[in-house]
Amino acid sequence: MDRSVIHLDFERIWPSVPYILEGVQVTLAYTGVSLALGFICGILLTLCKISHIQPLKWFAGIYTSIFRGTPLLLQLVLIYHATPQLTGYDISAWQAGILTFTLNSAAYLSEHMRAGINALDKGQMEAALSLGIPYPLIMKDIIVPQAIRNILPSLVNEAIDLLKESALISTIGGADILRRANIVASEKYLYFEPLLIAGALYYILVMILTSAAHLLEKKLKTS
Amino acid sequence: MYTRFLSIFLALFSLVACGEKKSEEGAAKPLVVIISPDNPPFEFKDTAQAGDKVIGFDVDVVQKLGEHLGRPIKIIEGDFQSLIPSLQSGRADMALSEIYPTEERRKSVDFSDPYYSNKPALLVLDSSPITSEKDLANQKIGAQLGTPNETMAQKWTETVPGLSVISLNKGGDLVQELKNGRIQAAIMGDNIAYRIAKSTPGLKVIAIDTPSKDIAIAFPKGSSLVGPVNDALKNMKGDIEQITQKWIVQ
Repeated sequence: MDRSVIHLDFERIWPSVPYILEGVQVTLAYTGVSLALGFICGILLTLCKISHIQPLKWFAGIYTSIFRGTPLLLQLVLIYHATPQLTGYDISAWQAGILTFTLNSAAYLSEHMRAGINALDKGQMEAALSLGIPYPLIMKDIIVPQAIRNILPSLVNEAIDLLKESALISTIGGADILRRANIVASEKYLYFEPLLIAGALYYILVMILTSAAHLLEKKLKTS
Repeated sequence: MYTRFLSIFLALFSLVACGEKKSEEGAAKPLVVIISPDNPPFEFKDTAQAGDKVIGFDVDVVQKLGEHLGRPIKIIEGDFQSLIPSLQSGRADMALSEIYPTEERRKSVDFSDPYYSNKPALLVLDSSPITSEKDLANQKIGAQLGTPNETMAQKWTETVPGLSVISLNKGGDLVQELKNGRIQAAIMGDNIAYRIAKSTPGLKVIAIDTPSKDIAIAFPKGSSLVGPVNDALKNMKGDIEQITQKWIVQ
């Protein structure tokens, strides 16, 4: 057989494209919800890291080292399969996915945030404290907003990572873009075509995310 | 700001709650069946027409089985590798997906009596000179991981010089490797082989003289369902014949 000719049979795939497209909202739901929850958990974790209470520091350090030190896929499969066995609670693929991605991205985000806060001038904190502003308000109104503006590029990076890593959900049966492409692939015995479509979808999503972040960055710079 | 976070949390939890509280009305609790819908004609999705619905031979068998047992059937999906873990963690009551009851798998799960037999066949390129397994000297043959077909191909390597076996996860992987020329033949159930040859130009099926391989339903170890299911299967011979005619006709 002449393998020099790349034979792509998109015609057989077209009727199934809407099915793959439905995966976009699934992928976006996993990414968006995990990112939002991971952001909140990340802030809490960062506060632990920069606090002066030793046990909180230890907790945050151990937490981060565990979630950064093991593969995300392993965390996902463990949470999905071990939870029913250990607790008797039948965790769904959606819950397991959100839980894993949230916990995992919280670990990474907290490191970015810690770096962002450390980069701020210590004088700001000292000045605010000497003015008698309570610690929670200093954090909420002075430190965290500046830190977040500084680390916006790394936050966007994390969001892009999460968007692509959400494809791992297909291993436990979540019907995201990749899983749907694989189902079409096995239905039609065609490999490249559905995967190329999935690849294009991920690329478009990441491009949209990148340009949105770019706009946001510009706006924050001027304000 | 805090109230906004709170409302996001509440919205999420209500979402989760909605997912969980599927009302369990009706007399009998549904049997939860896990299926990996990536193996036509046994289990797949007609993504162009039926969308997200799992269809195929195994689906019809298990629906009929539900009728015989007087229990509704609830089908959930998982990747093939997650079928046995899902039985072990109690997520599903049984699993169907053209599963071969191998000795290795029997260590982790229980199996019903066989409900269907697959005759192995070779899938090769149209231009291939291979006419039987004897012609496989110095060739690579692809087989699906963990199947008796893989075991059989491994056995051939003892008598056919230079034959090596490449084990892959899915039937579709075998087709791709065949097209790429990385393997020269793929071994699989003949009904699947004929189906692939029909839909994919450039491939043909070589029938081989080997015994059929049984497929069966998997249960968690010690499941009380094995007995009743075996009894039901005995009464379902006619039904299964019909379902075979519907899905597996050459």
